[in-house]
Amino acid sequence: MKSGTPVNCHDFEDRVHAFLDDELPETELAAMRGHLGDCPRCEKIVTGFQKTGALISTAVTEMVRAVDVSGIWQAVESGLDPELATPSTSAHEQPAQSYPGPARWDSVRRVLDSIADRVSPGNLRWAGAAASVTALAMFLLLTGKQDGQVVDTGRNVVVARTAGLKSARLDSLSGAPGYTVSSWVQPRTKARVIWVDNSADGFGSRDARY
Amino acid sequence: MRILVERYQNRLVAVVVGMVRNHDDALEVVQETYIKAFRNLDGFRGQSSFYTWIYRIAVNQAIDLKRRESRRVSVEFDEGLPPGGVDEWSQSSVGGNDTFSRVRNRELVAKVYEAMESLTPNHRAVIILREVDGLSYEEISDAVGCSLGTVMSRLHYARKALQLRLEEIIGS
Repeated sequence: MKSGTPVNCHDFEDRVHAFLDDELPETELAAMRGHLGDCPRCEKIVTGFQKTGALISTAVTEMVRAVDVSGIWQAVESGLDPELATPSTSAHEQPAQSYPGPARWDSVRRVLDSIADRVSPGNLRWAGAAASVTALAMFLLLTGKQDGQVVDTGRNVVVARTAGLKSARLDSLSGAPGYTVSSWVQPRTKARVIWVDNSADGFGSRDARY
Repeated sequence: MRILVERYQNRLVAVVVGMVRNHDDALEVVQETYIKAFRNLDGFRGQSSFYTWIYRIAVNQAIDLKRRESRRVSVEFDEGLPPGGVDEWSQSSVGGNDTFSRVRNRELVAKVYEAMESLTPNHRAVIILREVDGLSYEEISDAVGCSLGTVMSRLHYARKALQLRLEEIIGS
């Protein structure tokens, strides 16, 4: 379509999206507007696309209203700080017998490994005490530079919450035989939960499975 | 950095929530987008604005997430909490002042999202960047990394497809 030439319905339909999106030069816009004023059919096409666009915009805006963005900066800051870094892949993507990657976890791993070597079905009582020590050590390591707090302490289970946020998915990590080290984020509270457990079924009282 | 995050976070969430539909996934994508952007600031050459550059990362992250989701068996743990998204939104009934308009609005939003789900992630990205964020064709081209011609053809296809699926609502 040449600038300034009259527009027919075929030309109009070819350019309707650029027209709607204000992507035409002024001369072409004027010609398109001129056609629109005389053509109820093309006017109907434009109205249909405008309504579609308005629906999409309204639906997304309504959805966004329900999203709490207040924790984004905090999560980004935590993600950028290597000391607070968390594993980037979820547990089901990791090989069995693996532990989280950052250096801080190496200490936890060494403690767990040293205990795991001595755990057997016949000395579960000792294992329970050992797990408590491990969990406490882990908690101290985790909270050394974070605002973590113990929210639940059982015989063999310690749960610590931290402010990190990564994913709502279970990020569970199989430990040595008899141990499960799990971490996940609660979608609502944005709290990262770290959980060390050596109970008989491997999952303590919570129904966390993967 | 905080200023950059806060300046664009609402607009990024709007684009991403339109693509992934789920609140928690959207937040995760936006957070990962900023982390990736700040870690790769060297890769920002100033040929596009920071704004379209970060949009490009967000759109790619959202597309990756949708692809991963379609491939894997989802393993989720939510302690009984709703996962967020349209269904949760429906229950919290945002918008409207009376019961009738609330019900109508939530049905409408669900239908629009259902229609958008029928598009490919690439088509969805383009239509959302245009209709929700009002980006120009050139900005969309920068943000999704394709030519102007591709932007136009994707917009054309997406609008037609959505109009067809939403005909009942638009007609009324």
